[in-house]
Amino acid sequence: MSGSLSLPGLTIREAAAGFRNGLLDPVEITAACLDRISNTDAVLRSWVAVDDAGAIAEARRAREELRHGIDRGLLQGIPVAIKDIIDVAGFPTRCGSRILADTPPSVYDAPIVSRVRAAGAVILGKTATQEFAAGVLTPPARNPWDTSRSPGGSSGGSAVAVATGASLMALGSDTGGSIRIPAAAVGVAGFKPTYGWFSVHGVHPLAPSLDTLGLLGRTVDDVAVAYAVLRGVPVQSGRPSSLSGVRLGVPRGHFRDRLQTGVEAVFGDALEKLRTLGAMLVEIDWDDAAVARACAFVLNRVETARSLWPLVSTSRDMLGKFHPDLQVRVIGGRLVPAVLYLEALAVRERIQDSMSAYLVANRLDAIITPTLPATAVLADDPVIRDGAREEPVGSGFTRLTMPFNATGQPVLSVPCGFAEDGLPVGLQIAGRDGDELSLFSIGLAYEQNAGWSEHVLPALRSEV
Amino acid sequence: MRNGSSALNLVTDDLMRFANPAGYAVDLEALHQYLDEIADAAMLIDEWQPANEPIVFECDDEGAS
Repeated sequence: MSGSLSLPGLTIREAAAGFRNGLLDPVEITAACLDRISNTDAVLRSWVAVDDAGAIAEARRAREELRHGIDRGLLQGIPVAIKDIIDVAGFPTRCGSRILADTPPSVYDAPIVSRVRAAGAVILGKTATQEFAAGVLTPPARNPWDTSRSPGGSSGGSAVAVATGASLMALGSDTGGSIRIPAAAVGVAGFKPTYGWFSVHGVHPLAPSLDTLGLLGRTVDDVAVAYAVLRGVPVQSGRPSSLSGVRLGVPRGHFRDRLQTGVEAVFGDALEKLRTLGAMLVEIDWDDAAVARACAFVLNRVETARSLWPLVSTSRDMLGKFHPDLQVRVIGGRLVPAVLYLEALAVRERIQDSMSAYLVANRLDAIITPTLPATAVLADDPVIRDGAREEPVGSGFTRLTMPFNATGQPVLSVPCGFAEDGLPVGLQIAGRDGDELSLFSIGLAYEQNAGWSEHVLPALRSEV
Repeated sequence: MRNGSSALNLVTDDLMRFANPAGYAVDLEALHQYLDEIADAAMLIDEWQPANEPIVFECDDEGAS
């Protein structure tokens, strides 16, 4: 690489500046990302399709445009990864499923991908997802901090791509926590915008009343920059503002129960850091967190069955091509009473309204919780363990994330340290509906003062 | 009148006729666990008491610093 910056620590803003002052070259950065994929993916298995020639051609185009003064903004020439439930022209959208193994390449880009292209970003390829984004593990992908562990899911491939520096940004989707869960498990920033902000057209549906497209990046500023460019709103300065006067609600009960000891300690340290940065921490009770999760759970399960049924209804053989867990979800979802689904919709709506009112009435800028109650689980034995206590990973990993899919508010997961097992822990920051900027501001202030995003994977430290 | 167990089987068959009309082989133990989780969620939703006013949460400013 011609510049002095190294790939694992490179931010979007640094790369964009380097492309413009001649210290960095989009083609060299893209080639370095492709090398990284080649060198790591036999073990990490986080990519399902990579277009080396196409990516290099897009990087050359970005370089030429910049040389000729055509500036498309901060994503121009930036390598990105796309979760394989999102249509990208020229790539098949296989959704991690045998059922779509022979699907032809997509003819069209999803609107979100069109925006990525219009911004001049370089599409490297498609990343691994748990089958149809229905799960929290992303097999066969592995966690780069400990390859015996899962990276979380369902956007696990996208999280690993940015954690390893194989991509500077990635698209993911979040229906029950599928961006925030892998972000926490591999130590990157994950962002679920307000529900409905990005079109999900051209994205394979899981549960349409909850499905939300979002972003993963190595830092909060990376996802904030990408969000601004893709939403067409002004890019903020990236400089952290003071947290003085910022009021953060810290829920008791649901969000503090059954935390792994190491996660609880790291979360406590994060709260202390926020306090020293000037934030006012307010202990709160959100008694409806469990019922919010229950609503999202019922909606998720029924809508999943509705979304996937057309794939199996045409042939008796097709259901057997799903993973056994998904077979049960598809049949079981059709057994859920319609009246329960309608009740869940109605209660969810009331909880959404009351959450908005609550944040305003109590002058809260955000709610702070751990993202996950535990660190990454073993890929071959995916159970949450803390001493003698065990919890199934599916319900455990969505326990703290899913309530915010019910409310639809924007949520960020930021790395906040490492538990005693050496694995990353995520801090979940849930903001006010439609107020992404305040959320980024809080996340940025925490991240830049805590310094956790500067921790580089042990395997990559020699490059820094 | 049918005895309880055969009536139960008929109800189960009826349910599976629309949930699984093609008669796919499904792991019934896993299906039971799945429905058990749904039932737990249903209980929370059923027990939730909608207030006439927006829900009022407790907010304890004593913990503020």
